[in-house]
Amino acid sequence: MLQYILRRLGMMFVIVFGSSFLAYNLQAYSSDPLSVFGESTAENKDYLILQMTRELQLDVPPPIRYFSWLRGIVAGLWGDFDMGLTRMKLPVFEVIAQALPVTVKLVITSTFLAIILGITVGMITAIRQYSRFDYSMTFVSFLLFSLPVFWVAVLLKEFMAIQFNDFLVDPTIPPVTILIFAAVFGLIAAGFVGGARLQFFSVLGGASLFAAGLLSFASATQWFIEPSLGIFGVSFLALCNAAIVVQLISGLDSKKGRITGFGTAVAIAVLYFPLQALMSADASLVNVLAIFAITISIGSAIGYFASNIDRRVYIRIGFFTALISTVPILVDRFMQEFSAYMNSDAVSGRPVPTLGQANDLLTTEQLENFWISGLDTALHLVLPTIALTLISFAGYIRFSRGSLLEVLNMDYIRTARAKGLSERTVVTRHGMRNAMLPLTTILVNDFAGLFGGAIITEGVFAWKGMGRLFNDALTGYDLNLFMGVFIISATLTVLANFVADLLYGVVDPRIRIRK
Amino acid sequence: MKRNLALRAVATAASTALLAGAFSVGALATAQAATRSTVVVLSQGDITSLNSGTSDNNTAYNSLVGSFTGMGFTYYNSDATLVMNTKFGTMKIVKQAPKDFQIQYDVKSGQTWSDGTKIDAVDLLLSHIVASSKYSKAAGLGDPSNADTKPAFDSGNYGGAYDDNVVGEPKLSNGNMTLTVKFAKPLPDWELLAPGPSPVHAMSLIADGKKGLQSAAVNTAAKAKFLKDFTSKNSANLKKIGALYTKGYDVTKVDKDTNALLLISNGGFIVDKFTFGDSMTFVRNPKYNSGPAMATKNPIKTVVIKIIQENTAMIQALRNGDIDIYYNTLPTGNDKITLAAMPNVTTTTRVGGNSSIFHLRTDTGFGNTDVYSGPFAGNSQRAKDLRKAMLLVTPRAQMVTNLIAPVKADATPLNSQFVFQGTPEYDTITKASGANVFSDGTQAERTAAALALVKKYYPTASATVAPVKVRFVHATTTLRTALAKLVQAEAKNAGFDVELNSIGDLFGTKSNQSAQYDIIMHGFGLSSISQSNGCSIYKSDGANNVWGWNDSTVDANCKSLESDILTAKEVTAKRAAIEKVVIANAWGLALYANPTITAFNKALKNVKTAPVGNNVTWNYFEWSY
Repeated sequence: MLQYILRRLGMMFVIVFGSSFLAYNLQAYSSDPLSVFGESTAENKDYLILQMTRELQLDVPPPIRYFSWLRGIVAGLWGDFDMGLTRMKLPVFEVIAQALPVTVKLVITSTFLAIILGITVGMITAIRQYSRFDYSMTFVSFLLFSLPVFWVAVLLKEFMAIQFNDFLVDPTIPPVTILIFAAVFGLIAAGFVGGARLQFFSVLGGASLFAAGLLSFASATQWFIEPSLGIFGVSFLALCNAAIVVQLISGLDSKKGRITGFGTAVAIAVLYFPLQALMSADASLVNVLAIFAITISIGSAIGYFASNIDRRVYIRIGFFTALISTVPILVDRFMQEFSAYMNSDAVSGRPVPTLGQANDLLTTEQLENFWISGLDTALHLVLPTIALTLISFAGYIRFSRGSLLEVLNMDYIRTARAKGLSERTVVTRHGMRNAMLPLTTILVNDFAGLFGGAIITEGVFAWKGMGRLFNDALTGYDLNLFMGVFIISATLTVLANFVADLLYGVVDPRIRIRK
Repeated sequence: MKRNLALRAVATAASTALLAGAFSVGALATAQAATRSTVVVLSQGDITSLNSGTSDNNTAYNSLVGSFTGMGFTYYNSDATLVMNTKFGTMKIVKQAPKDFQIQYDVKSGQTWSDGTKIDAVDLLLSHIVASSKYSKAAGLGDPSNADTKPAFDSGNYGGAYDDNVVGEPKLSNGNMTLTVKFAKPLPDWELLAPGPSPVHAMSLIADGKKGLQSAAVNTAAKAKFLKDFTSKNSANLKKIGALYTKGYDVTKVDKDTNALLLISNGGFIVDKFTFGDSMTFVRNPKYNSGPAMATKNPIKTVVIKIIQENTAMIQALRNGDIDIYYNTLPTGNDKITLAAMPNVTTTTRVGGNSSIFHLRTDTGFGNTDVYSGPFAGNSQRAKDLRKAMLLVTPRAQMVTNLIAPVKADATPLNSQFVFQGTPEYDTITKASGANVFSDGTQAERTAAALALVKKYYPTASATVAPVKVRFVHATTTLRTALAKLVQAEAKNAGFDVELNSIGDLFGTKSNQSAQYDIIMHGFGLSSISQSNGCSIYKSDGANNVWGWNDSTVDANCKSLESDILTAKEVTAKRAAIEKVVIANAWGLALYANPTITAFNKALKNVKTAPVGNNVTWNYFEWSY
């Protein structure tokens, strides 16, 4: 095993070294940094050209210049790390150190969302193969697959930022809009549930009515400028969530499961008012973690006491119900700040921004309030996250659908069914777990790619992340910056492949690394 | 209204019944915002330094910072005139002899930096250090023209007219409120050489490792120390300040931990926060008195520079109120339509900073070795006729109507390479230069005249036979490609077979300087209004004369423009004389003045673009809501 790891590490080194040498030379030969002076009418043009040649060592042939760059990287071994200066003379390391967290902040939510949504929807379509829902999701996933992100971004900004902010001036929804939204929501819900014609239409009717009611209520009460979930909203969502968690883990027919799940949901509803004390204006991330700790321990305790055998299953139910049901409490707390945030000078009534990472005009007092600054970050993340999720989750739908379908045709699934296991157990325990194996490679690689940034998305939403640095480096003939981004992406990619290979052995006992 | 209320009641009842009051109801918020006091200005590129004087090739965007934090003797206004800022000081020629040219700069007393330190002429001395190679060498700070090692002050100002002509060191007088600089000969653009103020006391303090604002006594002592270092050429101390000048102002972040000495300003604003690639926030400088007074009614208290690089994103941000001022130097008709339709925005279109132009190659460029032998080579009658035919057949009116008028409705073809329509010089110069030859009559007539010229040398030429091969190059943009297609189509009618080449990097040393192209279409802009504008392109040994032009009349006129102090009338006459040669030899032709768009929050008053350097921030002191 050790030998295998060493061999792989050696290969990784060769790959990174070789590719960086190639990339350095290709970029150096294909670009001419002096071209900025081509049209310069500066009277000291000659001096400026001399200066740039001196600064960038343009008189040294690129293959040789590569090694002076490499020396800075290798010098990192004895703490003398130097990635050089950008063409604008900023240290590449400093620029990347600032861009990397920005990219992670931008991409991480959408990557998680895309994975969770994509895998969920993909697996449902596999279970309901050739159903209306399967066909419509196949259609949707191919549609999203082919959407260019810059165009999606333009539409999102137009409808979800500009038009929505305009709408907030008088947040009354016209009845026609309510009807259209309700019908669309009903169709989606009915598609999800599926079933015979009668069930389809009853779900369609019920869901539409529900959506129409919700929207009319929101419109009548100006909910959009004074949003909140309140104790009733939190309880309702906690109960729904408990039902899903219980169904997935033990099945709703298990009495102990129901007691744990719904018991936890009720406990969280009861905790709604006491927990507000922990969420004052001077709260911080520690308070949030404390809240999670409280609810999760209560949930797990309920699971523990509700059962005497198989305790792990019920503790898990309590744990997940509590974890997910606490989120609405926090969302509700953020919503309580919305009105004040929206009417503050910095925002002046237009809360959804089209770009940027944060509102530059928030006062120090606002920035120090965890809830207001959190709300501000969240609002700046809304559009790019939706854009990135929309275009990337389609891929996960296709992968997970195909993967689960393949597994469901295996002999051991037939055996599982033959020995009388419930369909829920067959699918969740035997099907889904095995279907996750081939997805490991994709997931690990996607997480590595995450640090390379989202070139176009960062551009249209004006986030200075790794993607935009890469783009700047290419268009500005900035060799050191280009190599800085390149070396990080290249290293992470080969590392991710390595980790994926090791993980295979861990998640699938059938795979062993041979000597 | 009544019906609406009824509907609302029904909806409320229905939804309340359905949800059994699942959601709590908040009180109605009153969205009555106070008068805004913030302006968010767009920057299309990154800010990388608080000091725009270094050689980091990012002056265009870094100077945005200085436009808010620095005030000197002059600035350009929206009429492209250099305005003397008498609030800061005055300058005058005190001696004008062939070999002794002296300018006296008087700093107005009573001004202070944002930390309260008095502004005087000592603050102007850094300008000399960073522009005079002689001083750099004499003080042991390195030779800026050495190809291997960089000088202590890595400034982008060495090697210019100041460096070439300054004699000795500037002299302080009048209680350090006056500075006199001596030059070796009269300089026509002496007003552009005015030294700018720098907070030298702060630089001296930072170089000594100080952090945070200091007391008045410490500041005064630091300034005295700087003066002593300057006059005694204290190499060690100056090198420390040089390191600060070169690198210390290059930042990726400004926050409460940043050394406040770095942020000292004499402009209307002080840098407050900065995040690289995202935004820079400025707050008012309460001690500002170095320039025109700030607006008193609903003035601006905070300015933000927001960095956005993507055009559609900028436009949508403007519509959503995320930015207040948007500008575009290469707008399309669609941009104009979108902006005009925005309810919250005022859109202005203007010309005056840049033009689009054709240049034809006649010979190997100055300093190049490639031999040019294309159809336009040389100064024979044949080459002149073919060049003239090419320019005659260029459908300028159609180019303007199809592609420029959608942005600026009253745009017309431009007839001068030096001045723009609407300036008093324009009529004088175009009348004298004979440029009307390319606009008289209809395009059909001009094309016919062009065909006649081509037929002299290629008798087979006709609207269907194109024997003259011409290699045309332009930048890869939608606008340029569309324009080039119009040229190609029309040129065919006069026997020209135009081969279109588009290059992303038009000014790469490889493309416009090599002899492989016969004609180039490019933009032509002014970063300052100097008397000798354009000479580096047209004179035979001009640094930008890469197309091989050579004419003694042009050279003589350029020499005079570059070295004589002339009246406005004389300048116009000399420019007209140069233009006349350019037209007669058919070296090139201006196409149109590039329109630029500035669009801004309707509530914001007094936003005016200055054409020189496309500067939207020059008159921030006049902005108000």
